[in-house]
Amino acid sequence: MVDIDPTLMQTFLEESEENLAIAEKHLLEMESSDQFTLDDISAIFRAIHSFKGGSSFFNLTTLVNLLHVVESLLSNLQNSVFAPTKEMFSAVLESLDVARTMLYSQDYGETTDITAYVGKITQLNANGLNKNTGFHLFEEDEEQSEIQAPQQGGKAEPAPPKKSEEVPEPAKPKASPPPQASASREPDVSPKIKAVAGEKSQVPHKAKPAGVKASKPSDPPEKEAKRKRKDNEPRKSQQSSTVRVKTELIDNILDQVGEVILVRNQLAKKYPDEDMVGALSQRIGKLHNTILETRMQSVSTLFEKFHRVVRDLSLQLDKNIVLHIDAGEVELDRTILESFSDPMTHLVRNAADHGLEPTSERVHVGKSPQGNLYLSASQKGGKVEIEVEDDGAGIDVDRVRERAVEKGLITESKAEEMSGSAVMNLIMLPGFSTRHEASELSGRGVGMDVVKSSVEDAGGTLKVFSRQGKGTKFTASFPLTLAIATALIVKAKNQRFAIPELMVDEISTIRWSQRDEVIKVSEGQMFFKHRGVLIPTMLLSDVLQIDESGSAHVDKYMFKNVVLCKHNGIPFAIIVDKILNIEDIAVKGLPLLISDCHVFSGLTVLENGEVSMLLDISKIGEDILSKTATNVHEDEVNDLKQTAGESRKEQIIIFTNADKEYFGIHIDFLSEISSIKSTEVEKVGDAEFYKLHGNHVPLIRIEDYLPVSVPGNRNNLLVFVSSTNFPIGIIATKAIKVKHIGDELNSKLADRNGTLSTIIDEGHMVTILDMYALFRRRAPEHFKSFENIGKGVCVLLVEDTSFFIVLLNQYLSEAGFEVIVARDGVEALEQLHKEENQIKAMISDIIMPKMDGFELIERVRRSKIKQIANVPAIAVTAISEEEHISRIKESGFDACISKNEKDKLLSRLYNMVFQDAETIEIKKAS
Amino acid sequence: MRYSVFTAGNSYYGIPIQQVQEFDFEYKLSPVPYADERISGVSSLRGRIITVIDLRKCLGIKEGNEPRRRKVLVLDSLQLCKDYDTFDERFSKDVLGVVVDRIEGIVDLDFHHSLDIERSKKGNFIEGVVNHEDKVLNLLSFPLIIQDIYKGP
Repeated sequence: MVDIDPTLMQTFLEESEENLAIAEKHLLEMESSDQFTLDDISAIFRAIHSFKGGSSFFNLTTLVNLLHVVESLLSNLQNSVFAPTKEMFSAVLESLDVARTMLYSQDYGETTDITAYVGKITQLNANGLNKNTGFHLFEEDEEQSEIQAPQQGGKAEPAPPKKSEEVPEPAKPKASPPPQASASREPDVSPKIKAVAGEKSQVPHKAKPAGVKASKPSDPPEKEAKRKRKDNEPRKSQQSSTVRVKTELIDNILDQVGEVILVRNQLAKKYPDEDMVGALSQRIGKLHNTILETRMQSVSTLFEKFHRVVRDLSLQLDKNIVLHIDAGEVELDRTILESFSDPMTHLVRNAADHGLEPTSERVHVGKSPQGNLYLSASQKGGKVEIEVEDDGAGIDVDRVRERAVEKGLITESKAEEMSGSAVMNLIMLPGFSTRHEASELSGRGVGMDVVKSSVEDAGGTLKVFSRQGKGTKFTASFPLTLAIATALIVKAKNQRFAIPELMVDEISTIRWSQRDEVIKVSEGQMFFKHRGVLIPTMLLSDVLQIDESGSAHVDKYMFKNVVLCKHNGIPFAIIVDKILNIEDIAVKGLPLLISDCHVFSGLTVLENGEVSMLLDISKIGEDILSKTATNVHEDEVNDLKQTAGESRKEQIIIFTNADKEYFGIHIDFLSEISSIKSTEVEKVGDAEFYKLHGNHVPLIRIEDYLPVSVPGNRNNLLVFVSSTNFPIGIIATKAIKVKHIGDELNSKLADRNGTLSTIIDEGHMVTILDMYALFRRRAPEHFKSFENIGKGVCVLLVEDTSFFIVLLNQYLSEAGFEVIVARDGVEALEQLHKEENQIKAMISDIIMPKMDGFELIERVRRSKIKQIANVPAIAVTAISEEEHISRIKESGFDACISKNEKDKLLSRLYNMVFQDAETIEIKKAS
Repeated sequence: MRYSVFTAGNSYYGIPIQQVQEFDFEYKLSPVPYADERISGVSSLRGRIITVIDLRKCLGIKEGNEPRRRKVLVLDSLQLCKDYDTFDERFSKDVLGVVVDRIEGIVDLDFHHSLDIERSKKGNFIEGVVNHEDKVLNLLSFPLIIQDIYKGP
């Protein structure tokens, strides 16, 4: 070996890594698509060839020998001497792996035994030549020299490469021998392969010094020529060339540009009308952005390498695994990406090894024989989410629970209390493994906690979601830190804030004086009526608690902008003073001193040089939505996000009528809240109305229907308008707050006159109104009495939230049905089996813990018991679940009705049970 | 040892010159809602984010007229980490600044030949008091101040 210049060696290592990557990429592409294209083969050939050239420059004879046989095989393929086979590519891949190991070993693999690999490839080459009689003439020659190569390679002599380099020559039948032997080792352009002709003609030049180099390594001019060649080569042979630059250098440039921007701003201030300054300004802005982008890397570069990993895994595990990649156009800071590479490999290995079942097992449970592995990346609000998902066996929650107790990670009583999603997250505790034996690939019980902590080190979070039998999904989400994002720049009380554009659903404008569009419920808490839906809303200045001091007087009559967003699918809105513009921003992490300001996810320097805080919209949404929900804990909210439905909370709006008497209405039953003057109430006989959107809405005074106090004189009234088909307004004095209620409803207190239940809030008793009972008394012509239509027929009600259990139970039993309540899909199936002959219809919620409505109906319809499979089923949904409707209709339910549409629900149920039942049965049977 | 001297209210303060990275720059502070009241805000220092604390608020100074435009001392957080073992090393990645009333200049203090230094009873953030010419200089420890503000996430 020559004395190696370390910087030169470093360049060589980097280049080789690049070449290996190119070769692998093309090899895998061909393997997966099962199509062998000349372009791919040529690309591989070029990569291997320049790799070999470099190796021979450093006199790495063993490596050269190995690469040489590979090259020879490829050369024959390239020249269509024989047809490629999968086996060949496997062998080439294998050899490249060895080459890579050699490259990084102490002696660059000089003492590595490569006989087996060389033998294998030589054999394949020979086989190919044997089969192909078309080139019989050259066959002997070829074979001989090829077989020689490995033997010499083993002895590590510098000479053989040169000799064997001439080998490919005879393989090209039509080319005339060029005059110079040393330059002729590369086949000239064969008429068959015009497509690559342009690129290929470069090759001979490269080849020449490589051969000479090996024998005369210390010759300076040669060296120079060699270096030149290396410089030119990658750029010519592949388009996506890259330049390696130190990160500090980029940071440095970034700082400098920052400084330039400042000067630019001063210039612009001084010469506001100068066109040239404007032009300069624009250029500098672009320059800044471009430099920021250099720090970003596409997530797909991370994903690409998993083609290889998964391929190897499927071979090793003998599972048929199909990899689906969707990285979109998501970019992430390179440092984050790099640090996530290892954890991600672990997740993929885990999914392949533990997640996906063996083929036989998959077939047995009725899944497709090939296992699917999905890698996806998406930008969600202020976060970039990377998901690793498999459609394997999923995580057995009970076993995890058992195991965690066994290992002493949690106590038995704690284990029973924990929800499914919480239990799943136990697998990320140190020292946990569910597999009984650790496999060679992954899972020695130390894995997941390491993965979790390395994700957290990069500033991310890791979550697991799994459904038994369906698969497992790991979601790593990283902050946008350093990522470029598009943001809405908004103003609140003279301060600018940035909102990630991706978090914004819609923007709307309101006139601050329009009272009926924004309804103030209590201090800082209000609703914004948007397309007939009441959306919890807050002023941004209230969210941020910016006080008035020092800021201009807020003009109550000016227009304000409303930014509509969603948190866990629930809409909320933020009112800002003004939306200024949309800007591409580089998000920076919060400095340590202000890292505890939870409403911000980062900050950024705006184009004008001002620093603006980036709002953490999901945090703010959580704040707004749970402003008054003293009984909703953060954990529960997180849980909610994960399992979509564990112990859901219902929003009740609480108001007063007479002093200190509190009432509650479920928010889904309201279409709007208007504040009116008492003079706006119109009287027709004893009945009261008020005009809303041109219609006369009947009004109800609670004191007329329920035994409650009569309020004193009021000038201003609140009217809660119902969302029923025939709207009715309830008169109130003051809205107090919105409360999230869970299981505290007591159905025993329900009467038929208008009380559904009561709850206690901050020491006050709150009467929850039964709107339908009240309405029927107010407008009997519009609210039918369904008394005794049910005739004691048994109906199964599947619902998890106690509010709706109470409500629907009330409707159904009032109508004369006998009701069996199940709290989730699992319980529902049990009940159906127990009472198969009794239950004549099923009314089911969609989002429920353990088993949701979709899975329930699927299992019901698949049941072997006829009565169960044919049971008429109605899906009931909350207003906020509208997105599910189309899926519900396809899933096997006979109808889908909103929970607040009592009339519709009961009449449909009646029809199903007493009229349609037979037709449905006939339909199903056919 | 050379110290940079600055004022807040009616008092003079000093820190070793190597702890100062820059004397004042053109800043525009953006206040940070929810942050500790001693934090004046954040600004951009040539594209980097600088967190600025208010010396008056840190020391509870109310007396004296505030100049219309106060100056910002940019601290060398790496140096602060070197000088104080107890200072959270994570601060070395952030740029920290402090608003003072006026920057007075640089003085040379020789502790070896001076017995002027005495432990202060004034506040927790003052490491010593030195008489220099006709002024009383309070020697400050910014790491102590910053650690006091930082409560952790």
